[in-house]
Amino acid sequence: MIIAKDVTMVFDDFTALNNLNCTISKGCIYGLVGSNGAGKSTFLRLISGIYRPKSGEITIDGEKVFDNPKIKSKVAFVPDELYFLPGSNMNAMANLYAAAYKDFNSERFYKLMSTFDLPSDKSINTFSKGMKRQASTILALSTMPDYLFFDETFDGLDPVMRNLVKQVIYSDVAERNTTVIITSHSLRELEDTCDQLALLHKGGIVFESDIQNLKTSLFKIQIGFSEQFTKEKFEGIDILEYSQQSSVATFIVRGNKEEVNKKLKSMNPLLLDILNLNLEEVFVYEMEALGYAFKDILM
Amino acid sequence: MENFFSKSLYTQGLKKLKTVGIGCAVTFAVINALLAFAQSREKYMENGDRLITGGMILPLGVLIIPVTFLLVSFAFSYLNKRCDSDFYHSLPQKRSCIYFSTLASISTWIVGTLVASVLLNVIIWICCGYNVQFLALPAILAGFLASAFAVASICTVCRVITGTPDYFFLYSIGALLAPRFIMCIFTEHLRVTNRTIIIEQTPFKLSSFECSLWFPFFTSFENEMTFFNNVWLISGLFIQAILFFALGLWLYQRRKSELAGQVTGSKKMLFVFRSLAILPILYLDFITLEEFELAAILFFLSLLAHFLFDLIILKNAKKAAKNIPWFFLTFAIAVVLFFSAPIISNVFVANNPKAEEIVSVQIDIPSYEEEKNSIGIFDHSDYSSSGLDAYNKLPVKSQEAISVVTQALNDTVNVKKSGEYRFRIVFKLKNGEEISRRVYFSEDELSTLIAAMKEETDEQIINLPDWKNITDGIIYFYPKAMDIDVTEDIYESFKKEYNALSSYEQAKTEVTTKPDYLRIDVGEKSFRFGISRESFPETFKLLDEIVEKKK
Repeated sequence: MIIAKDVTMVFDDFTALNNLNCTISKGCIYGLVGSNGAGKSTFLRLISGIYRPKSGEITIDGEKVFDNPKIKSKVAFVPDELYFLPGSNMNAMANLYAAAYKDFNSERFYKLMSTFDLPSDKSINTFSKGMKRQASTILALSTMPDYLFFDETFDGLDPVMRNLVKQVIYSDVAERNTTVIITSHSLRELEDTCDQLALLHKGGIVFESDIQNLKTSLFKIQIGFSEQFTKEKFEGIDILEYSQQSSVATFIVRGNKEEVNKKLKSMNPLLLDILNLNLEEVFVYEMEALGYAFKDILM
Repeated sequence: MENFFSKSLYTQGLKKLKTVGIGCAVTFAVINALLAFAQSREKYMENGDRLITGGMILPLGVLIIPVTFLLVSFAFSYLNKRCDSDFYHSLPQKRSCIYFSTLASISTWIVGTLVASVLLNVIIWICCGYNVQFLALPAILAGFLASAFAVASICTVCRVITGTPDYFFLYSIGALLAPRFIMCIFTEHLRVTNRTIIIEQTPFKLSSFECSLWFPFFTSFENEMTFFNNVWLISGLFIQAILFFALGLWLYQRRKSELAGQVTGSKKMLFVFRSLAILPILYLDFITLEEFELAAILFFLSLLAHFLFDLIILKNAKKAAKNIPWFFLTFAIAVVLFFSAPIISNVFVANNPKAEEIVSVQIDIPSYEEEKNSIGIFDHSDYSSSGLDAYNKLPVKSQEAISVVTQALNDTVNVKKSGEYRFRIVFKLKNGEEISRRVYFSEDELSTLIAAMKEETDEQIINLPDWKNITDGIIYFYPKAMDIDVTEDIYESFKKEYNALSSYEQAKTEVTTKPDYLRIDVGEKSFRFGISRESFPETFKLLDEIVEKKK
């Protein structure tokens, strides 16, 4: 389990993370979304033990991460900017990783190399950007980590490779209870992959929820009556946003879909439609409910 | 062991340094070899069996610095870029392990380069037919290794606190040279504020310009051979290296990975290095206060240097201007240094002896053996007149001599007298204590002292030898600006007239720096006598005749 408690990280005069609190359970695939400069990469570097927080504490399995080889050997981090030893090929990198990570699995490494069709003896300098990303992912996966962090990695993989990586991740999560954190700009990408989602904004987590709950907790209602009506007619229903044009009202509701449906049907409407929202729409309404304009956050 | 060393990181480090290491090793070895070969052709080496000469040490000493600098720079190059730094710091290794493994790879290349160069040197000397002092090899290797590691340790500290290669270069140069330079100026100021102080007898001997220590803080190329003979110096350098490597470790463990690509994360470090750059100018400014225009120029130069330093480092004129108030803190440090010099020098030369306390006085000129076994700190201008070696360490007890020396000492202290002659004088006191001071003498004062020595001792201090023992002799006859070879006639005339002089007048001939002089060599010894027409009329008559004949 990863616990971040009152974590603050400052670079010169810029506060990247401000009293951030967060708990990430074991075995979950955690998505972290936020605009540029929100603090996503900083957060990942903190929990990878690369940075030391200015204040607060980050622990993995109850132990601090920074300068702790025992914990760091369980962590694999694929950053946004990649580094490979100068002039090395994948075999050389595998040797370095094997020496550093005691659980490094050579068999898995070569199997993934074959699956991704990457050459092991060619200089990594000759790889394309996407191939380098694949290479870094393969090395990380081969360390058999308990904690796997991807910093905008998926954004640089093609759909086929993305799916391949997802399959490996799912199997690791299922078999070894691996915890995965993925950061991205794309909600759609995270929607397909993650169990939990958090929005990072100005150094803090403003919103965090289970994805399934998110998707089902909000829905859109379109309802119409023959007689005149106002919003008061729907008292008892948690309405986030309401609009009405003559005899048809559209509103966003938080609550149990079936119960709300039953209640509305009892009002004998002429028209009743219950529509699902996509994740982006859910986010927008949840953020507006919290007082943020979502477009201001992600634009 | 896991906390301190990783074989894979060490191996990676060796591979990373391969190109630089081989390049440096080859360059180092070739230059060394060429110089060894050139030296072997020198005439003066015909009878020598030395492995290393002073001329060869100089380039080796100079080359050690860039070689170690390059090795440290390349080994820790991952600290220049964020993604590189993040990678290394993400590895499941203790930071101490990464640090020491990197140092091990640097050290391997340093040792390999130096050993290869010295061995090549040996081969060349043997091929040129010389006897090599194999027993001297360990000391020579130890000396160079100590120097290299001392430089590497300073560079490592600078590397750990900076985030870009160019500022690492600037900070390294500053750290290697500036402290030494500042301490040298301070030490010279100690000498100037109190002329009686003998720096070699204070802790500041290590920071004088004459000191031949190869500490990176104290770089000098005088008396190279004394360095390699001195176990304490070499040990001191190794200890310094260990201490700075330890400092480097402490800083590395605290280094923020995000510093990579930035100049320096610490405002304190920026202040330290900026002050190192400006302090010498400020200090010189204070020393030249009596010349107002020069002092004013130096003040504004130091202020400008302060601004420019920050402008170069921070690349932002506004930020550089905002830091100007820090100049006054550096100014305050310079003020403290400047005003502490007289206070400190007085600590070492407090309580000058009074005439009634003194039993005897003696001139103290260091012997060749003493000099060879020292760290090369003797100020050679202390004995400005050859021939006075004969009076070295001879105690004189006469009240007249003690009175003259005490007066000269007081004049040196109070009147800031320069005098023509400067000697170290040892005062032996009635309470058994011995006090040493540097004293300036006029010609008359020194002659009185020498005369007293002559009279006190039963033996003739300077026994003018028989003509047959003289190996060479010249007279420099100023009015005609000519050297005249000493003939037997001239010498016998001089000897007769010299022996007829009083002790004081004899002393004057030995002390004087007047243009006309007679110099005679007796084997390896050389004696010099100032001659005047008044004291040597017959001798001058002979000289005039020779000059007439030459016309």
